[in-house]
Amino acid sequence: MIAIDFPATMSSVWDFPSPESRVGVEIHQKLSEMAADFRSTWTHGEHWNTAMSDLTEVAKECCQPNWDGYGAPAISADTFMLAASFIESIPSDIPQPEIGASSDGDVTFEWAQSPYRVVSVGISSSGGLHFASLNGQKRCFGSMPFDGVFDSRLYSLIWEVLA
Amino acid sequence: MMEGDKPLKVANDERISRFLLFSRWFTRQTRRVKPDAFIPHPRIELSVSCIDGLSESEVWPLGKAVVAERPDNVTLYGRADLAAGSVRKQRLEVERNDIPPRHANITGWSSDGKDAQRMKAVEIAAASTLILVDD
Repeated sequence: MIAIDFPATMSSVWDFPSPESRVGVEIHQKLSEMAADFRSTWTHGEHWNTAMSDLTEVAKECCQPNWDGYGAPAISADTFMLAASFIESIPSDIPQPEIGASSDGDVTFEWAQSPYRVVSVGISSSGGLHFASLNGQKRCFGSMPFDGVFDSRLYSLIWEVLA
Repeated sequence: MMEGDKPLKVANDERISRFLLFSRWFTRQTRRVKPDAFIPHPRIELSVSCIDGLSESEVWPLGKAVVAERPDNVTLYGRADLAAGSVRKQRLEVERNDIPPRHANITGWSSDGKDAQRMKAVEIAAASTLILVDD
């Protein structure tokens, strides 16, 4: 585990086209508050740092409506914060997910070994976590509120897919 | 192709394409389309194009037309090709309306929750082939 110089790390990837984007400004403010919190109370692994950088890149790319060309809403500050908390909750033995976004405004996390072995998770502004897993013929999906703790069923599904 | 106001169904073996306008909806290294490309929103139908019978050089202009319609500066990165039957396996429907030409919608999502939509998107993505503009 390493301690992160959070403000320096994040400011290098956080460059919203404000003031045009109110969402960007709002997220930026919240991120600064979160950074202060984390700096005083947490140390994180390198994978966390990388994931947070990816998340901020996704937020930048999706901070304006219609970022997908099909009319998607911008990713909200609430969704960003929940996604950051989700990253924080990922157990350290799980590989870093690919982070993205879907047209419904969810931030998404994906662990995949092939198209037929994949776990896809979306987290929405309401705090709902929606997942779907395909492992050959075996399929599994569900929703749950995200309460800050990584779900044990999700943990098992990810390892089944990546095994 | 419409019969009056009624959209035409597309045969199971017909090829359809979802044009990819966001770079995180595919992975170049593993040539994989991501499920996010098939999550419907804000409408509960997913926009695709019918490409059956078209050559490669005839397909891309359809994607460029999709981009040209958008007021924002979006980029056409590629497309996800699949058979209409792969969609129907998920209890969804492909309805061609030809507005614009060769356009169709994947419909039938409305009864699904977000988790079920994601499951269907995972399976549709798995059945898709990634074709990039710069291939």
